[in-house]
Amino acid sequence: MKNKTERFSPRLLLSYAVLILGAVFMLLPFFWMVLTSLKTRPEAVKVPIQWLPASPQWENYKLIFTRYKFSRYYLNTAIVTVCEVSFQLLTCAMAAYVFARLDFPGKSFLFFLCMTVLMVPAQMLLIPRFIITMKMNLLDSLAGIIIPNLPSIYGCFFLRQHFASLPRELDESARLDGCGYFRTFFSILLPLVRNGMVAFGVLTTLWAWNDMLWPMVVVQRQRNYVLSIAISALQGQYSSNTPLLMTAGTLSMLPMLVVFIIGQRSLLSGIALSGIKG
Amino acid sequence: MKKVLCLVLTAMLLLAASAASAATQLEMLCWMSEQQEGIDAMVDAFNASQKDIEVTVSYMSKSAYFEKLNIGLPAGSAPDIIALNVPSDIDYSKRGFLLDISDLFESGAIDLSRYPEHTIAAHTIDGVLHGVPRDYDSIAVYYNKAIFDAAGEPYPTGDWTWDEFVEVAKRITRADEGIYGTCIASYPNSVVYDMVYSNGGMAFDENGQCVLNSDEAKDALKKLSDVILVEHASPTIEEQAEMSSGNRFLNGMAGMLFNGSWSMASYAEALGDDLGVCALPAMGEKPASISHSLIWAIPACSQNIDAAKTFLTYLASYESQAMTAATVIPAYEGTDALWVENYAQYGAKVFTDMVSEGYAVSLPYSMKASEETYSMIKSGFADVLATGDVSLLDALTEAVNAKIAE
Repeated sequence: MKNKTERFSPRLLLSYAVLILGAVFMLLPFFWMVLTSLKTRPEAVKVPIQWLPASPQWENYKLIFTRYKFSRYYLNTAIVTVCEVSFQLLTCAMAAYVFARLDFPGKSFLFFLCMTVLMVPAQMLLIPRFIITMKMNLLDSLAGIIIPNLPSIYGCFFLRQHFASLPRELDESARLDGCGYFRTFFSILLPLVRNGMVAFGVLTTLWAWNDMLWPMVVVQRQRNYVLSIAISALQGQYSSNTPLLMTAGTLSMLPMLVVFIIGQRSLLSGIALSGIKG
Repeated sequence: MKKVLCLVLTAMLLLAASAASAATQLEMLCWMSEQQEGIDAMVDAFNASQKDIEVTVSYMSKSAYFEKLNIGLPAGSAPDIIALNVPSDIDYSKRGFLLDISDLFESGAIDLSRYPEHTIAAHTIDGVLHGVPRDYDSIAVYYNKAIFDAAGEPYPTGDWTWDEFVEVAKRITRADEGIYGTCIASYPNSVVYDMVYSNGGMAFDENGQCVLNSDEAKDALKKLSDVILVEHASPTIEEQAEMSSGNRFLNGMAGMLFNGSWSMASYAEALGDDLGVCALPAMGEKPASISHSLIWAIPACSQNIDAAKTFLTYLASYESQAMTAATVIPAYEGTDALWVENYAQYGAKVFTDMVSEGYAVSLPYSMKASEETYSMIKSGFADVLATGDVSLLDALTEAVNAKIAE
């Protein structure tokens, strides 16, 4: 009986109504993107809005992979993302552990130095980074995209919060049981900051997948493009094929949707702890 | 073990041999991806005809393209062949980023007499031309036949005055249905400059000073704003902020539109048989059609200058330019007719006629702060068309000249 009244309480209904409304607002642009990808060009800009295409243009999805060779850009983006994310996860976690747990002279100063790097806008570093990459002969290669993006001060800071939240007693008992720094790090603490790692992993995956500015500056030949550049290249000098752009957008969003769904639970709790979101 | 070693060594030798005989690799970058089919065909044909040079072409969006060049050119790393519009040509020429190719013109490898004069004049910066014109555009009137039919009005044929244009616009306006006779936008290139020049005005004088405060310019803007504010034959600038003039025309909500040849393909696709084109009305003695063009150029930092020059010579030929005629008006003498043929049913010939009959005016740019002054003028025009107050042009001219003097 009690159960029944709760199910139909007006308060609950109201909160669901508000949540559903919010969800509709958030999802509308995505549905719009998918629907537009199936329209013809005149349908895409029609006023009043034509929601459904008269006949779905699946041709666009075929074109993306045949004429525009997006499978190559998928592969490139995947390589860049996997390399950047896995390396960042490893090095950031290690640095975060050191900054959160070990005591050595100059630690706060070193941490402060790292933090100051966060204050410099990325655009200011663009030209120096470009010149260094050029001198290393890495221009126009995937390595040129990946290598300068390997370290992440942000990740170090983000994960440090997670390590700091663990009780110090864990380290001490591990030490008593004969663990060294590496053992303590890999076997004891790392599994406990899983949520933070997943959250940071999902965030960096999104960043690496969507990053456009740096890859665009580095690469030259189309075969080294990542998805973000390839999509923007679909905009023409005078006119753009809107449905085609939306098709490319839909296709590049799908893998990120999967990543987000898998990492969702950890992502939310991970972000809640650090109070930081991307 | 020995076998493996032998194999590896042979493979290495083969690799070394193939590397030694490999063709010179040229990188080409452009942003006009809607012309990809034509440009790809052009590059493929060149590669097929050459043993020693291989060109790879890449496309980027316009903003990405210029961001990349703005970082790469000063650092000394850029593609071997690039496309440039007038403001970027001015900027890069003045900073010495472009290769001087006068030797190609002097030796006769590239014959400049084959290109429309105004395209060469626009890209000659401080007396030097750093590239080859690849295309040009011009402005005319697009009209929607369905709106004319509904009003029982005969289709316009061109060769008309401004007053005749305004009368037609008024007659086909059906305000109650949200359909306007025309849509006067504040774009300098496709609307305002055309009328200012037709009316005898200028944007910049011979000394590079902005002269938009002249009586002719003021009169032109007054007449343009009257269509909106007095005759109500065009949506206001505020209404256009909600839906641009181009989209209004595409959706059958504006009967006539001043716009460039670049919209031909998309308007033809959207309106089909309802689309027609005719010449711009003359506000003064004769019409003026603003025309802009792009060039192919070689950055001075290219490592393959000789190969790039060979390729540029090919890009300057009838054969190569003819291949882009599906989407843009190519610049080489005679290739523009191929574009006209594609859209003959709509009367596309007026676009090239505007140029061949001498009505083309190169899109005016200041030689200093080209981009900034252009956007200042654009928003200044919007203010004038929104208020009808042409005295705002005095302040605009002053501000633009101050920017130039900086």
